[in-house]
Amino acid sequence: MSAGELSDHFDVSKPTMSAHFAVLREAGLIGSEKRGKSIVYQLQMSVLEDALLRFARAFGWKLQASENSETKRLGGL
Amino acid sequence: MKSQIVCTRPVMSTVLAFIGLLGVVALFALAKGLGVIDPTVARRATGLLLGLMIIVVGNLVPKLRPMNSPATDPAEAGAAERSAGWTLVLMGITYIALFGFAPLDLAAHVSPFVGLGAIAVIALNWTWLARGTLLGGAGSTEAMTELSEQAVEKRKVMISLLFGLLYVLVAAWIVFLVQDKSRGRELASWMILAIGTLYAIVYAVLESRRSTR
Repeated sequence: MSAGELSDHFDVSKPTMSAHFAVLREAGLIGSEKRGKSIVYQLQMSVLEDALLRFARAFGWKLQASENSETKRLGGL
Repeated sequence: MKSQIVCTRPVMSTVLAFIGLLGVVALFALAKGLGVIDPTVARRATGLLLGLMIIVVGNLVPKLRPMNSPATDPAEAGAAERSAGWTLVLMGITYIALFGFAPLDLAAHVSPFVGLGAIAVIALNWTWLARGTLLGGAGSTEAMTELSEQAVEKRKVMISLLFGLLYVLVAAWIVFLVQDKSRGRELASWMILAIGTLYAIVYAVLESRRSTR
């Protein structure tokens, strides 16, 4: 996915996204490549990380889970 | 500066783990040669350590991206690397199961074929990827990817690890099958030379294709 496409999925500014990408890239979790005029980001997981993610998904863990709980928590306030 | 870019914690620990395991294999071989430990125990331990080495290297294949080239489609190359990583990890687990629980003779005779099968699957997958790129697959219609310095350095680390692993594996297989160490080392050297040449040719072709675009 390009940086622009990724930014569309989050409600944060592009400079903030860039800072997050830099941290993830530094940690080796994503890789970035210049493709024409845009930068394409790719998830780079080791086999163990991939297996853990699949395992977690198999037991019903979803990325939205934390977001939903956050929404509920805020709604309850 | 380059080492700061590429030597993230997982890369450094994988390289150190690989060297450490190689050292332990050498210690077992030395102890066996000196008659300090039983040859059967040494063989079983060598098989288990080989399994661990395969898992350590295979685990990081999708992260260090050995097939990452400016001419390949990143998504296709990523899928090929993920599949290679999983194949190697499963091969390593099979080695540990064989040398940990099966009769030693069976493990010594079956393990080279398990390894050859896994490497053949990876080689076919990567050859298919190179073929698709050469014939103008998905990547040809899109703008060319520019590899970062970090990506190139990571690729170099993984290629060195894969060649090192292959040398150790081929030498071990020959010893397991024909019990001849000198022939094992000789065959392993020739095999590494052949694979290295093939790899260099594929990359030269991919790079020339890149420059003609």
